[in-house]
Amino acid sequence: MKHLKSISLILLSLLMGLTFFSCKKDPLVSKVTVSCTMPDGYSDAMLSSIVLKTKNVSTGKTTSNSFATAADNKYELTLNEGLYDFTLEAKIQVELDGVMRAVSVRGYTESVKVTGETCSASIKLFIVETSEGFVIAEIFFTGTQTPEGKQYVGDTYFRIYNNSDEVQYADGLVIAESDFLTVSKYNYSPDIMSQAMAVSAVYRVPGNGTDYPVQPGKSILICDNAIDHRSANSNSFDLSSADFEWYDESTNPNFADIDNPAVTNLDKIYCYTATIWVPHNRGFKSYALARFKESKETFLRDYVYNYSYDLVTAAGTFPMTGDCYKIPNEWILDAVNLSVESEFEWIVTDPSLDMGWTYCGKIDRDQNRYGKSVRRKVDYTTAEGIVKLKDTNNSSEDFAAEQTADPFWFN
Amino acid sequence: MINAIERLHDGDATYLRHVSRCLSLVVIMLSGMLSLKAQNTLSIDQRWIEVGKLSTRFSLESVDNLAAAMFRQDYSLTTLAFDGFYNKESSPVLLQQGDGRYGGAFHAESYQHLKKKVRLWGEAIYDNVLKKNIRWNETSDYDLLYPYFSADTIGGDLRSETYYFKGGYAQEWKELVWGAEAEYRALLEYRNIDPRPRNTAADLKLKMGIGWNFHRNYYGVLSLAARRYKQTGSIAYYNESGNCITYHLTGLGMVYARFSGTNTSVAYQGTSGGVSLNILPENRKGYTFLADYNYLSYSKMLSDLNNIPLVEMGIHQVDLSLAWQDGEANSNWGMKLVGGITIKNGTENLFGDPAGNIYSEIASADMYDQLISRLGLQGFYEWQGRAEDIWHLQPRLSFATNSEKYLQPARGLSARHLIPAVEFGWSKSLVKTSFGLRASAEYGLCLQSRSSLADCTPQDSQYSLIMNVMEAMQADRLTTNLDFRINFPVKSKVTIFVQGAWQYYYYNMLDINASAVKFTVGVGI
Repeated sequence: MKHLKSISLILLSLLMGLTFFSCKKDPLVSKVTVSCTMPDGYSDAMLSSIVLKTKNVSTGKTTSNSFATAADNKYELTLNEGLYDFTLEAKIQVELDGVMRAVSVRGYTESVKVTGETCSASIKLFIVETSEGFVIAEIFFTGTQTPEGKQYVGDTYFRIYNNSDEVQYADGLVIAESDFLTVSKYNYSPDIMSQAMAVSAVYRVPGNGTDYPVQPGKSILICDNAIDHRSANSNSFDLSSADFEWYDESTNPNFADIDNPAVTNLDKIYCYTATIWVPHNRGFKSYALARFKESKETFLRDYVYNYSYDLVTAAGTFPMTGDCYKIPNEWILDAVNLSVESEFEWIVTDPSLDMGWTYCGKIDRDQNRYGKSVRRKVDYTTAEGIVKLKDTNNSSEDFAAEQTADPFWFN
Repeated sequence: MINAIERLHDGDATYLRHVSRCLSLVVIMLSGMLSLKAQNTLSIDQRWIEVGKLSTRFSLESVDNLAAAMFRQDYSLTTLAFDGFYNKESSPVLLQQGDGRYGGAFHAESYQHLKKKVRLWGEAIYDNVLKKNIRWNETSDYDLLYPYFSADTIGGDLRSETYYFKGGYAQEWKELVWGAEAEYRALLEYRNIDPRPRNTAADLKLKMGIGWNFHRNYYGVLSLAARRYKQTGSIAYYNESGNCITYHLTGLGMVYARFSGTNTSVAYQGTSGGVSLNILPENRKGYTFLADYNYLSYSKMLSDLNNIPLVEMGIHQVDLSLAWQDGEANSNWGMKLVGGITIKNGTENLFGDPAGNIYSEIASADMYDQLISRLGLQGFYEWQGRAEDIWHLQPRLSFATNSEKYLQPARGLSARHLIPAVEFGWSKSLVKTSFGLRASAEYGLCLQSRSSLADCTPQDSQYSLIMNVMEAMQADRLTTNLDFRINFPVKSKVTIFVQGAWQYYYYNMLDINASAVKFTVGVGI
């Protein structure tokens, strides 16, 4: 038994020693230097009230960091290694009409690789210019479900709102759908995003310039089929009183569009489909409201965008090409990026148009998305009782996601 | 066999039919062993009693060594059996394992003294089980792959089919013994309503060992083991109106947020290697020493994204055992000190900009750790009465710890249990029959527990999961078992047996009680 006792002690010691293996390493962290590129014409300005938000793409966790003014507009923070999206908000002092005023600036950069002991990132800032005219107030893109649980299309709509203090004319307003998906990022070449938005569906409100006035605080409803959908689907709406509808001459009789002659059709400038256009009902595309500065013919001739990219699959890398149209950023009045959290990879507009995104559904094909829309939040109400909608060019903040769709929420 | 694994993972539905045919072949081979002449004159009924004696298995109970199989039992024995089993918990102890299971199994096993110094053994199992109400886990092989599961909030019942084969050979040559063994398991699990996971797993183990007679009747045995494991899984939805979120769990209620959603196709690939050293007496009297080390690593990959390795796990496992056993003509006794440590280190890989559908790995972070340790002392006393009856008593006292940590946010769970247990057994031979009875009870008393769950609120979708893991880990638990077996010798070489087992367990913190019953009918040859 003496041997047993000795060997038992050795056994115990060995077991205790093995716990050494369980020592945990600290996570690897990097010191990140963020450099800010000032807006054009304000290269000497100093930032103040600086808030830098970092989103860890792997964990989905967002943290907010405040900084004091730095002479070189460089800011340091420590982050765990990973992939990040950076958003910076600050103010600069500018002279307007001889008076120094604080103006908001913003910047957004995505997919920043944070690895190693030190690394750097840069953010291009732009002046925040809130729209004083039309804005997209609501997009209903998901469609509805029938009581039998089947998908129902044709009742999608856009609500366009006059967010200014003056009468605006809807004549010539363009609704466009992005060609790129917010859930599939490719290195498209040439990269035109800082100058234009790639679009593949473009429809325009007709009129001579003063045919469709919209009062301050009022809006217009543009829908797919301006009919009473409730007769076919009790979960849908009566859209027969819509202001406009888009109509497509389909080449396939199995997918024919419905035209309500009592409701004005949009002028179809271009659409990628030979049948009928339906906004992406899983919310993978983005939408813009624009006003053309060229004729339809000039646009179709001079604003073609040919691009190429590499498609990488398990079978290999394949060079791909594509073509669509491009709308210059300065023509765009408002833009809204849509995506879903589980699939989001990038925004498909320049951050100066929209540096965020909104959604209906948390995942691809989310069965809870039907009957829901994205609706712009109310900012304030004027003394005259006119509702002003929030418009900071950041859809993540400006829009309430997953709202119960109501085409007549706004007047 | 490796090709067989590849074929299984290619989703070849006909493959399991081939496996089924192999199973039939193994059964035929095992039946063929019936014709082998036994090396002794004991009846099959007496052989079963000898093999089942605690003194036969006590010191070698935790020895998983090929060459040691040479000394496993003194008699040839073949059994063919059908099992039926049922288990129901009042509510699930572990959500990820469900609250019950029922099914049946066919089991064939044989150990043969082929010649005086040659041993041959084989085993084949087919089981078909319905696992009830599994939540937060759509992955198979819970014990192996914890905590890196794919999961959703819906879950449901899971149909499981397992095909298992094992074959081994050991031989004594002069002062040496050597042996080799191959083991293969194929698993198919699926559900026929949304969400519809379909998992196929293939698990191949190879072992070989050599030993030498270095002192009197003592052998030193060294064996090596290798393993290759694969599992592919996908979750389908037939409901046209949509999916629900598929989470990729990373431990302690955490998920890999970036890839949670609709990345439903995954693959696990693992390999392991191990070494084992035994010192044991040929006649099981004296000291028996075991030291066993095994390292297993696996990675979980997302098949939809060019098989990017989402997470990787490394598992170190060490087992040590020291036993001493002695006896006289009508009595045997012994003591055993056993200990072991399992260390899991989980790493999450971080990926860069997905442009072009290329997810390049930019960094990795060691986020998850688990340490499981156990140390126990047990003894036994067995005596044979004059009326052909054998009694045994086996007390046991163990100390076990389990600790899990997640680095950021800092989360940790731990528990230490003191586990006293006792087993009582009795078997008796009569003229035309023999029977055995065994009863045991074990109580796990939680001495200390700690919980630290940063960033965890009841609003989190995984809150119920982490609370369940915590409560199951830290609960006191009582387990009781009662087994019986009756043999009906048909001839001296054939026995029909009926076996029943009943288990009751209770978790006080969860207020869960459960019963499990198993009924077996078989033939021993």
